[in-house]
Amino acid sequence: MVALIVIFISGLLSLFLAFAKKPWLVLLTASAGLIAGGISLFTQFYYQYDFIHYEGLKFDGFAVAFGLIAILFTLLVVLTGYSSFKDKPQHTGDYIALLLFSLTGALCMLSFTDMFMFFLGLEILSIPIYVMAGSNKDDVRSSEASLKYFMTGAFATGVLLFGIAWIYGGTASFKLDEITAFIYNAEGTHSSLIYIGLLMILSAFLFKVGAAPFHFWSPDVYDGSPHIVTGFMAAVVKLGAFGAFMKIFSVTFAGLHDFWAPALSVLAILTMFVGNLSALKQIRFKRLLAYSSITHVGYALLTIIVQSPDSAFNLWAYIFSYGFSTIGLITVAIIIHDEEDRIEAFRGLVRRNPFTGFVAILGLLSLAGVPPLMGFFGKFLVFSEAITQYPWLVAIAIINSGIGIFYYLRMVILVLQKEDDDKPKTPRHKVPVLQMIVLAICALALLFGGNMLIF
Amino acid sequence: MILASIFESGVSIQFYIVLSTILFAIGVLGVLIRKNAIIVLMCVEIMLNAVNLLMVAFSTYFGNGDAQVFVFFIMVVAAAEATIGLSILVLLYRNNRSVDIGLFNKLKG
Amino acid sequence: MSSLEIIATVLGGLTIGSALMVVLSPHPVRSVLYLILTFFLISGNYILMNAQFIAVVNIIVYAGAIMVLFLFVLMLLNLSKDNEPKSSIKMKIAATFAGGALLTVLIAALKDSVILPKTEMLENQQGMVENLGQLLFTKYVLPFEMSSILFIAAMVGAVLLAKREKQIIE
Repeated sequence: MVALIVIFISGLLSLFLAFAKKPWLVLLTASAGLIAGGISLFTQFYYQYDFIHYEGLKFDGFAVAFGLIAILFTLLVVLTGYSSFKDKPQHTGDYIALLLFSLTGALCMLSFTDMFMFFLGLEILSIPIYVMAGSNKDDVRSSEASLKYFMTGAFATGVLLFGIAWIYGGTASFKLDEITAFIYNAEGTHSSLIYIGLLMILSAFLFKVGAAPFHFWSPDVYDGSPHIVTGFMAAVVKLGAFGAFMKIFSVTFAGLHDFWAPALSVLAILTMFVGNLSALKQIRFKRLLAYSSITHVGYALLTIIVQSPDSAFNLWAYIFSYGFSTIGLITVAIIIHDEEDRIEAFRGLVRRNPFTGFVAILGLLSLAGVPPLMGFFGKFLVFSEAITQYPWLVAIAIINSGIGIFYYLRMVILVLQKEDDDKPKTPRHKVPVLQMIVLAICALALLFGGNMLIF
Repeated sequence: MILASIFESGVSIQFYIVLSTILFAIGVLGVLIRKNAIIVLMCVEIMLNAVNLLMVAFSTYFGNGDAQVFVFFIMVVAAAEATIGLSILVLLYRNNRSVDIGLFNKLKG
Repeated sequence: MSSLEIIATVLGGLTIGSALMVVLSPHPVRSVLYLILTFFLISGNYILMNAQFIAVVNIIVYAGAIMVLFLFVLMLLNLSKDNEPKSSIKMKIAATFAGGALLTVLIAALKDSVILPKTEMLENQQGMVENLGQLLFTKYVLPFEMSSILFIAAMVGAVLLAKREKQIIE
């Protein structure tokens, strides 16, 4: 709760400090706010203090673990994006403040205990991102991405609310623990209101995380949005949505596991195949990233399908590794700064900027799940947990990882290759210090984070 | 003036469930078939209103005010969403001179 | 059939009719006007269910504020002309089918649904301002405060998106 207030206030401060037309001041405030938020989130959990009594939010271990990485990812995204934010000094404050507001929504979605906070958190998470997707106002593609994201998001919100209303009709409660208790007590004699509500909430969640068959918006939106926003969507928004997904389905609706698990497993398989097969023929980098994120959503759904005490940790580890790879790759794409965002622009990167190229390779290999990078350990944890209950699902997931390796490796080779001699040589890219720091953090995490995960 | 509860006088809760489901389906239909982005936004508003109606019906039925407070928050969010949606439309219109969803096809691949 | 039942049925039918007109009328301004009518009819339903506060707020917020915003944008963009391209027949059939299927599934599922017993009360007053205010400012004060974050984000966002960039004159 303290963390939430701290982050919100630092967002407000950065809005007002932007009037000074000094972008570095805004960056400083935002980073200080994020770090203070992280510290207060941790200390509040560690010392169990609280200054007011409140109902609706509970920062338990789950919320703190996910919240800390949400804050970390936001910090990395803000640091990476600073070089592009400061080109428009009159808007730097707005952009950073909107990202921070969105983060408060994500924290809300990780710690809610009733449907009120869940719904508000979801909206606070999404609405700033609708705006940020369109923040590149001169570019039609950006506005179009914003509209598409907004339309699908608003539609999904409507479906979600209808689901919540049906659940309320079936259980007469908005509180998660009361709903859980009701479902356990009325074993076998549930009214169909609950089933319909559950299906509607499920489809709204699939919309939000971008799983098949409701994934169609995500490539367009990822492609059209500015790079920073794509990174934020892939890392933080997905984290918030998955956190809430797990809270609602693995905990609240655990009693109806037999009802939703088969449907969700079929959809997870569909998601993996759709993401992978479409990723094979992409030529634009952000579209590739979008399809790869769809595939990773498919893998991450396994943690929700499998009912085990370790599921939450596995999901956490998976998102942790995925976020670092994505943020690293997005940073590399910002450094390359190709107008058309072609994958081709990555050619020969390692010869021009050895370190940047190295991080790009690390990120790609980690997404592919090559040991000893962090992505491998994330995948390993998820698959090894699922293999006892759903061996066939894991088999399909492993086949998909194989398909995935193909296009990731193709890109790795592109990064390593020499540039064509007949074309004019691309000059060495300038790397700002902040992006260098982000790249270094991502490289360290990808290289050594994996070993920490399995202990 | 305080009426007796409507559910004491023969109207069943199923009536309102069906009514709001029909309204919701009309909203979904509109989102699917209309091409004008403003009308699509209005259809989303119809969907939210169907939810509101269902919530109020359950609230009266259970004799519990919680759902009406939820309706209050749905209205808050609907207002915020309408603001953002319309400003996105204004932005797009400035670039495109149209709000026809079918014309927005710059993002393909 | 009691008189209340007749009123409820007629009101429900009118609501559905005017909502359908929103979707079907080709002229955007007419759609907006039908939508306002729909909101008034839904408010009528709320009053029947003794939810006076929500009924009034519905009219003030939806019909009064949101729809005026819609009308403003329609006028501003000069979209009042009927120039929307027709969507293809195939699309329409698919959409009707999808909507109909959703409806049938929901109604079929409802037929055998067990609904929790209602509370027996002759006078229910939870829809009155006092009771809702009590709930909103005690039990649900945290969501109430959180909605301010939502509003400030929406406000900043709307200004950021809709404002014309200043032309830099050199």
